[in-house]
Amino acid sequence: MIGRCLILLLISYESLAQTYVGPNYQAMGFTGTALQGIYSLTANPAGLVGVERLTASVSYQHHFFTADITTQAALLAIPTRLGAFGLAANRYGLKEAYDATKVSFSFAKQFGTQFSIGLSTNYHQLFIPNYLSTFSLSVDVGGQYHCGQGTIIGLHFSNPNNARYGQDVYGTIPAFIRLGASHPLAGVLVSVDAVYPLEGTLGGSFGVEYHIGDIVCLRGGLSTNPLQQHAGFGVDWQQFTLDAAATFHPRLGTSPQIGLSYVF
Amino acid sequence: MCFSRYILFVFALLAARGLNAQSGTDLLIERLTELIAEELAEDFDFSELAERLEFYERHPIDLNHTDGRELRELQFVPQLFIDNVLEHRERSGKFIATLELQAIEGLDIDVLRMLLPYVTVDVSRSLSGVNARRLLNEGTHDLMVRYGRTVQQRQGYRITDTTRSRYLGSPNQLFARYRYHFGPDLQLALNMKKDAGEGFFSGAQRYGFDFYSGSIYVRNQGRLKDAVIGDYALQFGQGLAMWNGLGFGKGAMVQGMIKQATGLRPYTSSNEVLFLRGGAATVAFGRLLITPFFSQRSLDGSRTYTADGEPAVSAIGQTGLHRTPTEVANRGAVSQRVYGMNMQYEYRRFRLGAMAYRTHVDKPIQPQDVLRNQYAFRGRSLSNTSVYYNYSWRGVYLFGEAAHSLGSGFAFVNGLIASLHPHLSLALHYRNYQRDYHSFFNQGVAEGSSATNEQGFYSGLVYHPSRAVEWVLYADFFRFPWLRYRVDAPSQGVDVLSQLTYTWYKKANIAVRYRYRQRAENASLELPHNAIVDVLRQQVRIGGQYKLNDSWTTRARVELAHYAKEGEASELGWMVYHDLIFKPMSGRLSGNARIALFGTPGYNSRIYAFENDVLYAYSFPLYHNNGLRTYVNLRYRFGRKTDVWLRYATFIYRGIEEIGSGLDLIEGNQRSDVRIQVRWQF
Repeated sequence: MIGRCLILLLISYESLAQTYVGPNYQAMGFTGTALQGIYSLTANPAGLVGVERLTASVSYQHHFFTADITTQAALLAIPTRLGAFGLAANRYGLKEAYDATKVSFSFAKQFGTQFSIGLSTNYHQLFIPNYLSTFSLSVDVGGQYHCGQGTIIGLHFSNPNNARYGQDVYGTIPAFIRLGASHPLAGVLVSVDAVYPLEGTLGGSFGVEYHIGDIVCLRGGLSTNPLQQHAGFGVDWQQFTLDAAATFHPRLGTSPQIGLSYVF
Repeated sequence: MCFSRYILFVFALLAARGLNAQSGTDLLIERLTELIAEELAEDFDFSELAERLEFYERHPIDLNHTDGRELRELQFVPQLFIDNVLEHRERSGKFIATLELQAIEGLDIDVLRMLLPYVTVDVSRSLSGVNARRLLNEGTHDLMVRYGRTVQQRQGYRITDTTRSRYLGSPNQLFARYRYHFGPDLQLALNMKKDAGEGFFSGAQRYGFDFYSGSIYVRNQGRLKDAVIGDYALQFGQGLAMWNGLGFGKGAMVQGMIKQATGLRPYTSSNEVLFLRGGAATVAFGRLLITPFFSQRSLDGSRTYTADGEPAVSAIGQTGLHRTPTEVANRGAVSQRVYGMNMQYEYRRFRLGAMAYRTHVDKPIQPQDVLRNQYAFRGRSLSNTSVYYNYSWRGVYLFGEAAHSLGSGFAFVNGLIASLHPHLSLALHYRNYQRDYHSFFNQGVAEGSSATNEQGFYSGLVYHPSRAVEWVLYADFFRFPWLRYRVDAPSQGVDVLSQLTYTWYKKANIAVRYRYRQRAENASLELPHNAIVDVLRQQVRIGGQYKLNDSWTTRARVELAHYAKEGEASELGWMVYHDLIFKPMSGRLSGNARIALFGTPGYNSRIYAFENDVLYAYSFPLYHNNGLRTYVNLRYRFGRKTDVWLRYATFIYRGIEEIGSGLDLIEGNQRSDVRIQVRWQF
């Protein structure tokens, strides 16, 4: 148990590690700022406008294979004439030892043909049995711009008010700015992000998605701070989409994730 | 189809003049070798490749007859493209013009332009019916002699006390090389070399030169695909079990990760270690190629004794230098015998090979008894086996090898290169070399010095949004499961490179590169316990060249190298150079010159830069300390048969009174080298 807590502390120290990212973006090196779809609920909320029908998704992530540190997430995206609404909940933690929950409500709207804006309000709860239970609120804002030929530029500011759990609590709500770009080639999608955490050093990430036929796609990526490799695949079957991803940390090992989404 | 061929043909006639103008041999060698150069000795011999390229420039590869082997030998043509060429020929019939290659997928226009001087269509070839008189009259002879010397005297030549270590010979370097070619299929090669400090017709070198190497090579005679008597090199699979001669690794060309095995070749390099001596042949039985080989030669080794007092060697020498009494005593300390066989099956785009061989040394190998050597090879004989494959399908090229040293470990490589999109290619390469995997001839792609005790995953991308722009990105993550030299714990590391190149067609190019490397090393601080710490190296390079006119080209580079190790002061080194290249389309004189300024606070932030040299000689010297480097190379042609090269190169350092250390020490702040080379072709 001590060892597990130690790993947990080690991970939480890198505040970004607590940010949950959906499996397809995880496989592309955590680049999601300039991408669209249901998993934009875990990245730039402005990407939610890419959801055309009611979509629900559940996913499960294991951190560093051997440890019992997991994330569970459930997402729901509801496109309406007014704009796209989203509901997301995820829980990150170690069974009966540490529990960080985040519930967000998002709204994204398209302005004209090229521009979209998204907003999320988030409720964060941190619970450590026999020690602490606290909560906080934060917001995310994001925008995406279509430059033509399918290229998208995205900007995402997470937690601009720098909300915290409290002075005496060792637990952070990450605050960062991400700037990303994505560009489609026939069958290939390339995506790049630069991230500036308000407390920390500048990082970057890079991802590629490659479609083999209509059903299967392969993904790969690279992210810095710490330098990690990512890989994954997606399978479309009727209304279901299965995404699998893994992040390879050079010292701590592999973090796999699977997600299943359904389009109504 | 016929019509489009006709258009191509006309286009070829029109374009051939412009495209054939200049060979990119120097450029190619620089691109292929630059990243490995840092791991090799300063004067490592890259001539084998240069010679091969020059040979194919004079005897271009016939696209209508090649089975792909010759194209593979060029080392820069991806196997995927070679397979496409062969398939194209099978499907559409013989090539009419080399520019038809443009219609075949799998090669960037830049690389295609480099390839064109080395290929042709339709030349007849066969040695049958050739008699001795024709061999003498129609063959070409090529004799080249090179002399070089460091102008300043090194410490090792000054010592007269015979009880101390010193250089026994003169500081002159001498190299002689003879080639006889009859068409592209018969070659006789002879190399003779004396390094600086070695004797010449004296001491241990009483038969003249210190190193002699020769071979007779015949190929493409019916079933006999290749045959060599004398010195030869074998390259199979991905180099885990058997790879002699020069190999390449990671580089700014992503396909460098794939080892392009050339099978059996005569050995013509002046490197004194990486070859086999004896006989070998490749015989074809339908789709099956069988290569039996035998080699018997002596190698240098550091002499020691086993616990029973029997003579043994602790390590096999890699330098080929025999200058001091110790080096002379270690000369030929071990006799090595190698025999085995390789079988390769080829069917269209699929190749499968298997190999088994045995290496026997007359004295046991007994490495130093330290923990990092716990899994190193010990003993007199070793048997190796290997299975390898490669296959190309649409835009994907798959390759791999599994090798095993009997009684100890395994080594695996698997990878692919895929063109995801006409503008985007991807390379993936996974390696896993067990710590107890042994081979005397192992040159697999590795971060360490040999393919053992390492796991790694490499991923690279090449993006060509247009003809003018190329962006290369690779990341290599690796792990050493056991201790290494100067790393007293299992360790891991990263190597990331990104390079953007912009080319103005036929006029200029500019490249910007960033490279980040992290590895572990023993802490240099005195700590209560032994620990390893991270060493970070970063490199930024901006370089470009500009063609002023048909005769003059200028080239410039700025480079920064940053080194940081925990517990030590970090270092930032810099280097700037400017080159001037004079190469007129006609005229007897050509040459090039460089002036470079550099400043590095220490050896750790040293910078390597490719230097032009006399023909077949290339160097990647390291620039460190503060100072100035300059060199001039000149070439003059006397008629069609004789060429003379001259080189003068010097380092002038600031603020130091002696250069180098030990026997190599030079008093003063200047080190200059001269070289003169003459070649007769008749």
